[in-house]
Amino acid sequence: MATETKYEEKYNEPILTGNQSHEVITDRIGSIVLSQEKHPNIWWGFIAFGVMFTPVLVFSIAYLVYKGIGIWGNNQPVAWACDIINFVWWIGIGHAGTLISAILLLFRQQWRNSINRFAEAMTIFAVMCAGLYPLLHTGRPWVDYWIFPYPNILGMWPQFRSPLVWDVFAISTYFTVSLLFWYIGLIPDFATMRDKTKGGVAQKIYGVLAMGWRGSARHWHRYEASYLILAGLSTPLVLSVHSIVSLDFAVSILPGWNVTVFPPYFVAGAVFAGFAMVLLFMIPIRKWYHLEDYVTIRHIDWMSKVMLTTGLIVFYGYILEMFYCWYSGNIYEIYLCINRLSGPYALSYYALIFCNGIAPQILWSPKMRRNIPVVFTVAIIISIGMWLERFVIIPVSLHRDFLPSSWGMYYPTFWDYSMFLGTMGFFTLLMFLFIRFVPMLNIFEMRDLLYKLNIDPSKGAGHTNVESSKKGGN
Amino acid sequence: MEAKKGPYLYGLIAEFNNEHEVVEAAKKVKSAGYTKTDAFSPFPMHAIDHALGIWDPRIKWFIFCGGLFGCIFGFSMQSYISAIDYPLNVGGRPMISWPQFIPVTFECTILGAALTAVFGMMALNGLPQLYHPVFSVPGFERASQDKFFLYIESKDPKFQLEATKKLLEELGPNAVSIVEDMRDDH
Amino acid sequence: MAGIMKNTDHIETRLDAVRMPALMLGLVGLGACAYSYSLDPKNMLASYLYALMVWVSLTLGCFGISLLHHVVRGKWGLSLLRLVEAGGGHLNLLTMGALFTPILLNMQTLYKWAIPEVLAHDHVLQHKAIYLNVPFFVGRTVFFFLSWAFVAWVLRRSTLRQDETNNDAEYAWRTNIATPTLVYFVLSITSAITDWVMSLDAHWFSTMYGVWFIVGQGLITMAFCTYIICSKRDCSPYKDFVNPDLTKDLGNFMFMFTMLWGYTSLSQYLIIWSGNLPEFISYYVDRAEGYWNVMGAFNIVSQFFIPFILLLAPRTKALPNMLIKVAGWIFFVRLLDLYWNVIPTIRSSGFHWTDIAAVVGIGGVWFFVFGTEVVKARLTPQYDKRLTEVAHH
Repeated sequence: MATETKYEEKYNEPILTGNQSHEVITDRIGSIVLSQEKHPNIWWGFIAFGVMFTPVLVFSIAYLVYKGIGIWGNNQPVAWACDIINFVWWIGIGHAGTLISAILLLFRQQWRNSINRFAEAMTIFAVMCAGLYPLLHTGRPWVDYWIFPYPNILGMWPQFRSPLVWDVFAISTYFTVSLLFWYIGLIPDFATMRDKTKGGVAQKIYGVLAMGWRGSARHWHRYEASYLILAGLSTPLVLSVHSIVSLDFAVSILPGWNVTVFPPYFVAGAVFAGFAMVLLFMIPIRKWYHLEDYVTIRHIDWMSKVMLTTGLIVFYGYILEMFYCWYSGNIYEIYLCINRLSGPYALSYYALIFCNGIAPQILWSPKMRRNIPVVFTVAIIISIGMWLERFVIIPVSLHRDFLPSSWGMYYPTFWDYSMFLGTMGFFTLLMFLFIRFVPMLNIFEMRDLLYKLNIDPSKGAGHTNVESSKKGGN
Repeated sequence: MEAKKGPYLYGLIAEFNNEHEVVEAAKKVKSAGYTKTDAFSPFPMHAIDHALGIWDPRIKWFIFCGGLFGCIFGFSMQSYISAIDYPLNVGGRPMISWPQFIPVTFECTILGAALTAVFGMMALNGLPQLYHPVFSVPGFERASQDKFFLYIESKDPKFQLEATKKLLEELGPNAVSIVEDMRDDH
Repeated sequence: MAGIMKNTDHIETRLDAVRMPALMLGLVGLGACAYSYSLDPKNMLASYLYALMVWVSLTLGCFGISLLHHVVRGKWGLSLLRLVEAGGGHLNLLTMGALFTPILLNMQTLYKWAIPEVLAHDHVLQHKAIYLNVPFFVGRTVFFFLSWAFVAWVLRRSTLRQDETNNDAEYAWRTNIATPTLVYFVLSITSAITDWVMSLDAHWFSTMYGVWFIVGQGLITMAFCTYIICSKRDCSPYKDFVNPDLTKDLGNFMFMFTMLWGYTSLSQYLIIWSGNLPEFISYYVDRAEGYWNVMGAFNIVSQFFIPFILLLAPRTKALPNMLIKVAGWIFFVRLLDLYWNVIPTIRSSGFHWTDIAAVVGIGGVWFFVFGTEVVKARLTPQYDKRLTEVAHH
């Protein structure tokens, strides 16, 4: 260990800085929730953005329900377009939350502790935005409950050989489990908030949410076992959700969709987009709320590394798609590549390659990974790139399939844009309400982190290796 | 059963400043032979589990059974619906198309296990329970922030109000308090 | 170098004891193959390609895990670094490359696309001929093995140097080499496995195949290393650090790869099965008849469900004796799974005695090289004390 630190020193900032104690941590994070003064004015700006655009969403939905999905630009041959792109985009963003909270917990990566709560909240809100699209795309959203298998007098059942039904199960399970996982993680912090507030409605609400949590060792024992297993369950769950989303496409026989590598390739893309979104939120917020001690430059470095890795996997996917399209020798597959490279939407393909393939390569440099404006810019580019990826997969594959006589073009309408903007507003509103009323960092895990770093201070300086942050104490 | 202690006495609780003190104290209380003990801390500590001998593997088995139930339920539901109640030929695939039933089966497995994990944990912990006598202990609100408490129940066979109190006081706590039920309707 | 070789690590473990028996078996096996080649070249070459895939996947898995270790530098990697360095070292890579010669000299026997008459009547193959032609195929295989061996050699020298000099700069140097190599590793294996196995059925393709093969390599390698570490747990130096923490890590890695194997296999099968397009399904059609079908079902159960259930239990991962059995089982089932993947396309008649002869033959040579290489260094890196430190914790 000692031998390694010499080299590591240069790029090995601690994951917790400043003068910390359990009291300081509790106070620094908890007080953000308890007083409006701790919130910068820009908080009002974002709330205003949310309040302005959430009604846009509501109105877009209302008009859609009134008029029908014809108000969107998708029609034969491009039957799936912005609605499904946005669905996949949002759900992908959500995946980073589960990844950070579950997989990194299993890998005993202590750097996750200060970002998991935030990322999990993102997951839940992103899944809410995502879920809207397929529900509305059914055309008759008022009978959406038909997709659940419940005994009914119509004698009607879902068709379980359809990936769209798998989606229903995957997304609803994912939402339920994420919500429970998030809530379970919040219980001890709600108890802290209950005990920190001095009477009033807030105390009552936090008290009810904390469900009488009192920090008993016997409770903690079962709590930890259950939390760890939930993490273990969430890990394959998050893989399965985006895999099943990818099967919506892959199970069909359309060239460009019927690709066997889709499941892992989609999962990597989701993680890629999700980390970009976490960074997009985390970078300004750590500054505005003075959380640099908890979300250190090392966190940003780590998240950039994850983005780089998943970005390379995604790029590997693009190479596979192109190579095997050619290798197949199938005229439809080959035409798909030609159409991507030189068809009417070729620009989106080149933009995609730039955004997801080329731009993230700057993160190879440790210096750039620590340069916050650079990381922020790359995160924006990736978010755009991942939207483009779904655009290239969905409308670009659909608009020219087997029969040239049935080819067509796709143009989004006003309502495609308004709804997307509306979900962004809704998402922002929820995120900033969350920041206002719920501890945005996991307080008890930060105390736990402090405790473990105290047992073995050398781990505070940390290593950039997977197992070094092994749990102490036993 | 401990009638002489009176119906209101729940036990004794000692407050400590840091995690090391409470673990040392817990070890001594354990070696003094107390079994109905508990500790309260602002974050989970394995050291305390070891010191007090806390071990409860039931939750893992509950979750396993929950997952198994979800798995069997998911697969049999799909098979029943697709092959028995409403057989439907989709693209010439078999009625029980097991490869295509795997995704939903999997989701049901996870859902069953996760729901069991959450609700099993709550049930075993007896939550929600908004009131507990320890909440009346002065300064207990710090148990969720930065203080550590060690608690001996009056139900413990070795519990003797004076002797136990003396034992706790010797462990160097900030304060030792009596835990009583303050409710009128007790 | 000599100073390091006088190390005590091998007195008890005796991993080199395997050398001579392995070499004997190897020569007998290869001799039997040579004899069989004179009787029925196609049968023998099918077995030979299969056996190569088994040992190449172990070699490349070792090489890949060592690359991964140099990138992430996990503590778990230290326990098996010297095993994977020996197994996936330059000597083994070069030996495996050299053992490819019989395949490369008999392309037309195995690969239909290499036969000019077939090519002349198949426009799809003509389309692919820029990529699938004998000189390019041979060139790729040779180049891949040389490049892998070169990097393996560079990295191995660096860890040995650091053992002596304790110079921390080596760490950074290796990471800088290993990270881009890992990218190259994935791309090159995708291409290589497309050549070696996928092109046996030249019309079939699956983008998942490379990923699937890489996962399989990881699985067989983790099983191999876990087997050695756990079975030598009472010998120095393993006895200093084989504890429930380490076995849990090793078990979890096997668990993870088992799940990934299930995931990639299911994804590929589900997508192809659902699409049901003629050019996609040929691979599974070949394997859906008679005992191939039974064997496929057996693979699903034994490669996924059995290790999954066993490794789910924390108890299995705490008991090295149990873990040895699981690791041995996984290793054995990898042999069957690769068999199911390679053989049915070439030979529909099923088992032939040369299958075993080839596996034993190439495996013998593999173990001979492994035994030779592994004793050239300490069994754990001396420059990084994290393994033993935690043992005292």
